Amino acid sequence: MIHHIFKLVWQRKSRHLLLSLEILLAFLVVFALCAAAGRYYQLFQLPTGLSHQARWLVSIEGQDHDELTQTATTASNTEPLMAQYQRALKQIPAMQQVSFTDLPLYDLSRQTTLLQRADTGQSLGVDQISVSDDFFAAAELPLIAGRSFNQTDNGAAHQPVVIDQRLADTLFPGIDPIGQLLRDDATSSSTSYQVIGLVQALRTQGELMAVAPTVITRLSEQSVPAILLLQLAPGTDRAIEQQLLQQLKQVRSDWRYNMEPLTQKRQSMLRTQMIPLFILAVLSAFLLSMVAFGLFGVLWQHTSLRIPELGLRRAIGATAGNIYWQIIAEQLLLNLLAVSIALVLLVQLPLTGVLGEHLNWPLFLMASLVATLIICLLSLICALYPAWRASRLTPTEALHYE
Amino acid sequence: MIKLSAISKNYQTDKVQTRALDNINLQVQAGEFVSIMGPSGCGKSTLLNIIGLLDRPASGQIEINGQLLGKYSDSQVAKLRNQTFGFIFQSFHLINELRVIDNVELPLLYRKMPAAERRAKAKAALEKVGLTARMEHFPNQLSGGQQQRVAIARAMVGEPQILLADEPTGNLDSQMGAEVMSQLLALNQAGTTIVMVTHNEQEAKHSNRIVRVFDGQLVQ
Ligand SMILES: Nc1ncnc2c1ncn2[C@@H]1O[C@H](COP(=O)(O)OP(=O)(O)O)[C@@H](O)[C@H]1O
Ligand SMILES: [Mg+2]
Repeated sequence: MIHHIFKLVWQRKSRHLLLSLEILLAFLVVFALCAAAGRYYQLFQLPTGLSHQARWLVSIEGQDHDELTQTATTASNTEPLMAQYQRALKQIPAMQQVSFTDLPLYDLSRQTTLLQRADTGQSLGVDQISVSDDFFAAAELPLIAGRSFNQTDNGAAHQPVVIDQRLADTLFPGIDPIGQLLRDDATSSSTSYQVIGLVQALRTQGELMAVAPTVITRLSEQSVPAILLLQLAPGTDRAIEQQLLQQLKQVRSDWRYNMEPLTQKRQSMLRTQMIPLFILAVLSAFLLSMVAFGLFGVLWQHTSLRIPELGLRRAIGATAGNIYWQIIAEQLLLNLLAVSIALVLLVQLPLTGVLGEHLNWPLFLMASLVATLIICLLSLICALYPAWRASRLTPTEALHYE
Repeated sequence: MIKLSAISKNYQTDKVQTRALDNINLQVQAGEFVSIMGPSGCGKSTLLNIIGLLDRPASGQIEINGQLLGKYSDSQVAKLRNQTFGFIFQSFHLINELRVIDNVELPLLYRKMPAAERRAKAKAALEKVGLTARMEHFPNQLSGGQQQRVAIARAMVGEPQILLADEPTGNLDSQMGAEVMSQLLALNQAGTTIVMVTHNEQEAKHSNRIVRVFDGQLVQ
């Protein structure tokens, strides 16, 4: 019987062409949605290197760098600004860590640069962030090898850097990255770096950021503070904001301070990153409903055209159930043909690896399976009523149907 | 073999009710060749369809091989259509997307039978109607007479006891009609019971008995 149904579907391929194309298109969109959702899920499971609970992020605005270099020499207080902030904020009892970065966390902005391996000259585009010595403690970013920055790095011949596993795997495959030398390849400045530590990952945009090779450089103690990452005692409530502002204003009252709990920033960042997925989902839902209507209409029309044939089948011994299942089986078969064509096209993506880890084999298999199930279910639902109607007709009605 | 008692059938269209059959009593013996004749619209097809269980009467009883058909389930009726009856229609009703051989095989698909056996039986049936050479053709590549012979092969492939033919030559010219008639006669000689609706007195003469229908009733 399967063979028979296959023959029928094949012989009617031209009549089914449009329908197949429609199914194919719907499959592609649903596949994209499943793959994207799967990818997001995968990313979400990966370490970010950031702790967000009981953390505050403060960004400072209004700094005038010209004025700063002047006052740095003339001011009576020669203590670096970073140290001043640190001292002021530590006055708050709940304050546990005060650290600085040059890049906001859980934020869309990112810095990239080009690094070169000193011995081989191999170069690589990397994400870059500069952090103060306390950052590793404040973010609870664990080192898996080597050490983080400290006072002994002052005046070192090579600027110390901590790199992530991805950078280590890419530039130093199979060798211990600790102690290796890197050069800045982006600018003509011949800054040279030495790897002193290794972290699993630091994804500054948060959970949904793709893994990228990342280099962490040391923020000089003299630099103008831009972003602060503060760790407070667990359970500290939002009322701390007033105290924070008060302490910050003690150092520079003319600057502006934007502060936000990191958990809140993470939430809004996740929401922002989910937007493309949301759009894709809306698009899929829209397309699927269009396809469902189209499918239903075409199926209705096809079964109507076939009623004399179905009547004949009834006359020669098919039960109502036989007719019902034949129509459903034909629809599913057609569906699987269209899906197979789509899969032959889509399998090129993981085969050629153009999308890299954005569409690896597990993701491809998961998305194919789920999308196939969804499309088959849709087809099935659309076929149920036309099939039922066709199976209800008596043989004579069917044979003389016009 | 077939016994109809007090069969009536109405058709309801919009507000008009048509009495297509009115109190029909008819018996067909095994091995008979019965012709049903009558003017157009008198209820011949309706009668044949009720004999062949394609349609249900409004009232009356049908007995087949001594078995009274009461509330038979759909699958039991389907089995009778498949195994006891063979149908031939005026307009052939072949499936155009299927090759001749696949069309002939069709009734066997609704039985549990290995594919090779189905194929062999279909080939044998086509041989009987002399169309072995056209096995791989599609129906629309054949003449009307050939198509009706394919339909005969399809009706006979399951070796039914009773062949029901509704104006089998109605769409054919006289030469093709004669070919089809000789096939039917050969089948009757081989033991198949045949009930045929026809307009053609010549054809009817070949049968053992002529049943005349007028306005839904049998006339003697
Ligand atoms: N499906 C139907 N719906 C309504 N009336 C029908 C239907 N089939 C047949 N009839 C009517 O029943 C009568 C008998 O039809 P039919 O058995 O086809 O006649 P015949 O085959 O003798 O020409 C006719 O009056 C016809 O119009
Ligand atoms: Mg008729």
